[in-house]
Amino acid sequence: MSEVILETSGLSCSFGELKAVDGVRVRVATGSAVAVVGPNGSGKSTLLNAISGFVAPDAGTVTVAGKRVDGTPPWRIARQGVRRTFQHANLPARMTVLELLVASAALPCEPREAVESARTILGWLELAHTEQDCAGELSGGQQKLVALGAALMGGPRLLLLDEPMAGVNPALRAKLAARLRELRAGGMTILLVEHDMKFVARACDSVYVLDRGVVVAHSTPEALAANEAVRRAYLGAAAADLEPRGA
Amino acid sequence: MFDYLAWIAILVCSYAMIAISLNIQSGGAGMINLGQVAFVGIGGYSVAIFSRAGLGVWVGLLAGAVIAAGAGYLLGRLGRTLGGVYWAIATLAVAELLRLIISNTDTVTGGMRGLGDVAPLWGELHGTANTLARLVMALAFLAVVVLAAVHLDRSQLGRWLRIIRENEPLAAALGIDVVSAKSRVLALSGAAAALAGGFHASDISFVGPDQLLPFQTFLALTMIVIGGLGRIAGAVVGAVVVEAIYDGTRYFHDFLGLASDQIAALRILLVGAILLGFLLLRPKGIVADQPRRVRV
Amino acid sequence: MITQQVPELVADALVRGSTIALLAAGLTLVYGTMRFANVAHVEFATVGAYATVSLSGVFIVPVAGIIGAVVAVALGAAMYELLFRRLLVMGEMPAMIGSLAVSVVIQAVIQLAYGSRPRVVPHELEQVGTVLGAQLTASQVQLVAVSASALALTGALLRWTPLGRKVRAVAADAELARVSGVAERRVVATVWAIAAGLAAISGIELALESSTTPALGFNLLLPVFSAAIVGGLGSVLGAVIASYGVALLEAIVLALDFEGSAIPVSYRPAIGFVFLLLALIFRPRGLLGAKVRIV
Repeated sequence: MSEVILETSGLSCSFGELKAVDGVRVRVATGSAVAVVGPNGSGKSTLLNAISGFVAPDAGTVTVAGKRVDGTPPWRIARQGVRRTFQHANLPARMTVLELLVASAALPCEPREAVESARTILGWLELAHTEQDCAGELSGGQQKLVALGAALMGGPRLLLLDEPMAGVNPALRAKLAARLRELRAGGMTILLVEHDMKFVARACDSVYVLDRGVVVAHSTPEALAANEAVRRAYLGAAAADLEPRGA
Repeated sequence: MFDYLAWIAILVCSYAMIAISLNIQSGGAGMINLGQVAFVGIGGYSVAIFSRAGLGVWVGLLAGAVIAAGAGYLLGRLGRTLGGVYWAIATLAVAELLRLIISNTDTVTGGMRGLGDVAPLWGELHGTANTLARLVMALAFLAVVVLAAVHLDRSQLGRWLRIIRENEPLAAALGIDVVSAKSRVLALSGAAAALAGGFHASDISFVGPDQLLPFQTFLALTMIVIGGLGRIAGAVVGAVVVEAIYDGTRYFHDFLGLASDQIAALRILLVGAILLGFLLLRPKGIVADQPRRVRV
Repeated sequence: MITQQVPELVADALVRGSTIALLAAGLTLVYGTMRFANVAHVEFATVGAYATVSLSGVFIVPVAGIIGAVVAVALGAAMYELLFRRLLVMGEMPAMIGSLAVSVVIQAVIQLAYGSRPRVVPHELEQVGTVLGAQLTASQVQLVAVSASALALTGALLRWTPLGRKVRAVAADAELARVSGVAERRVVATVWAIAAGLAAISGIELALESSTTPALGFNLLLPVFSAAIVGGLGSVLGAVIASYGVALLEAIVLALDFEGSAIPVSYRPAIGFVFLLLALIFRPRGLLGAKVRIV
């Protein structure tokens, strides 16, 4: 099994004149949790979109488990074992949670097994009671959990999470964080884009700081917290949250 | 009396088949196809051409379904680069192109005059037996289309389409090949519409380019919106309602003394107004869509 | 082997292109600012034409034309307030379907009121003159002149007034339009009025130049959409260029003669949308712009 499951090199994406991502190099080791942080407009989401295939890069490469995927359609990248979630879940309002999960099962799929897997995952997410509810009518936080469940149905080896904590109330945040820790313990590799520095500090092995499309720092959360320049310039008040807390 | 009722029932069956074929795209996958009538036309003309060439009506039916399925699949692949509105206009353009070509090619398609003397599907029968046979055939064809639609609805592909209709990026992120899924549903939809067209051509023993006017697609669209997007029952209900309006107003000229030209315009006006009414007041239609229970 | 001389081809293209351009410019503006693919847009032309036909019995032609245009714009405003605004809230697709229904209803109403035979605005016998080597009637010259003026005026408005600049900004930047939701009231009202007005002028001039039927607008639907899409939805200049381009293409193709057989005139609409289909298949990036993939 390769050590580095995801690697981008010289990745650049522009929209018209605006260069959203500029020569970004990211490496994610298998089994690690990596965060990408930065102020609004720093290109974090675009980076995620480029990795998952929703934006075709102008230049550079994206490699998953040794295989180049830049320029590949997003569904094909997903089938390589890369599942992503969105900042706003926007789950279908006319499908039940169970149906959505069953639909997300990887091919080839035996319906009975898919239903069992779905129920197992829902149980693990503590959302078994929402099985017959319309997915799009759940609260924002619950939708994010369900979206995570749907992503997991595909048995991915790499999870890309776009601001998983955004719009989630504190109680559910704790649950989501706990679930992600359990996934990590199980060997899942996670790359996430986040603003919630507390979570990043507790959950992630390393952090990339992006500003205006460029990587300006890359280290552990503790080291970043100590880096005065980075804190002041790019993270503002949120940087205080990077301070390591007692366990 | 029986003849008249049977005739109405057969017409409803034909329309219901077309409505269902459109519904699996629009209600099922959120695609608005303004050129659906092209598939119907392919079915109708295939049957007519094969029948007149002595190759048999059923062979023509099969050929029509296959060609329409292929055309549908290609139209779906066009969606790789076209979204929503662009695709809708492109489908309208394709259907109009087909109609123009058919209208202007006198040799094979009979041009503006159309093709007549299309043999019936059931051999030579007369009188009530004939009417009965036609009715049974219509119901049988409708049953086939309904079964296909139900099978799609309950399949994994059907579930994928339901995700696609509400959130395409989510579908892609879950590993669903959206373009392929859409192409497959279009192929099925094309085949179903072709069956309807082929049946109709054989039933009235005629096919002509006027059956390919955009208004026919509009009529089908009205049926599924009124009936309820997404549900098969909705498509059937919509077909019944629109047929009722269409036939109900047939007798207006007795009461209003208008020329037949004006009556036609009045019926069209009524259908359009009712569609608008439903869109504004009850967009879910008569049979509102429900989430599906997962069946294993 | 082209059977017509260049001046004739250019003249044909100018006349036909002007009709399409007035409609395409308005359509593209509306789509760019409101994300509304208004299939009923072409019906403004039909309404304008018929209003003028009716009024020409009472007023002299130019006055009838102006009032006819006003009627069309007023109707457009009413339709927007009562119908389209609500449909747009439901989404792009419901709005498009609704506009299809409106289009059908308008055609039906006109047919009920006026019948389906062509109607003409009575005027004196046409003078045919020769302009730069091409034979044109006075009406055709007027059509091109009025259209060009209207387009120029619109262009000036969009370029040099503050409101116009705002309209252009919103129309050109889809992302901005999406983010700012439905563009603010004044932008919407301006765009809608311009679009309806240009469309009405197109229909009126066409009625003056030849005649009008209930299908006047609908027959132009696909060429107009083709031009708007090829020119890039949201770009007025693009729509105008594409309109004359499509018209020129039509003129050339129809003038082709392959050893005795030519393409029948009834194929004219087909030329525009073969062009459209090819453009959509081979150059989708030019239309959809950014690198954002759909799926």
